[in-house]
Amino acid sequence: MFNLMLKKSLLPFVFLFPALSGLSQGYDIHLSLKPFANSQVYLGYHYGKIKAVADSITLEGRIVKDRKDLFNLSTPFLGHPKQEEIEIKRSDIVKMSNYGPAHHDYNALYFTLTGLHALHVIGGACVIFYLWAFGAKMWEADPERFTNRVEVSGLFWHFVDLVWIFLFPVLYLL
Amino acid sequence: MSDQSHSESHDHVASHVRRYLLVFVALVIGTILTVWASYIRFPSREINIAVALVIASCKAFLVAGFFMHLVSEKKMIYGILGFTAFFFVGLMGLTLWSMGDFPLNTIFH
Repeated sequence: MFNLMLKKSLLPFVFLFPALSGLSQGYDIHLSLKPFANSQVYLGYHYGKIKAVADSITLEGRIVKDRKDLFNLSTPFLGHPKQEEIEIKRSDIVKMSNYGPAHHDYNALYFTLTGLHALHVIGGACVIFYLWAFGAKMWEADPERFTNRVEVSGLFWHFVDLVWIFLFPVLYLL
Repeated sequence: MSDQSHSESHDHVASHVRRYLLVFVALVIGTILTVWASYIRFPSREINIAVALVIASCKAFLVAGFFMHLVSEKKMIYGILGFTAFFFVGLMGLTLWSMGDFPLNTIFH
């Protein structure tokens, strides 16, 4: 699924936007960008300004303004619409990786779920290690308390396992 | 549980260990099944999701039932589990309920 998401996000270098502001009144904006090799392009619309976000410094960008003219004689049936070209100022292009959780919903969820789970696994492993290495002395002194500790840490450990039983297929297989 | 632990004989412990090993083997088989099932092309993706979640639920039953001793628990524990299940379903339900709940004229990118 993760790979699929990556492939999907590589594909659409042309984004379609609804008519939004002064710049695009009555137009749809298609952004066609020629990114360098594998660089990703992410276009966000923010406070009336076009913001193109890319993870490559070699991004060349320009916006092709498409007029949605249904009665354009040169394009009777869904042909190529009339185009105007607009340069995007280099300062308007924000360079950053769009894989960061702040710009990528899937990665935000993915790293929250797996990272939080990893913290619980590490915590559980620490508890089990402690019981095995240092806590076992208690087996002689107070066996009932010790078995209860094993029981409780076991419950925690298996609950973490329970979570992974659902996370694994959802994140990696579906 | 701790109240029977003193009277447990060696055979008893061995049978417990055997049971846990059996559950472990079942969980491994379940994992293999899940991976295998994810490669089957069902008529729709929803069936894939359903199959994966059904297998996961069976594995979850094994873990909760045997590793967490839920198949042989006191009544109170089931009561607390019932509460947990109720609130879990509630949380999921509220999330799903809110999924289509956006202010008018929300623009989706």
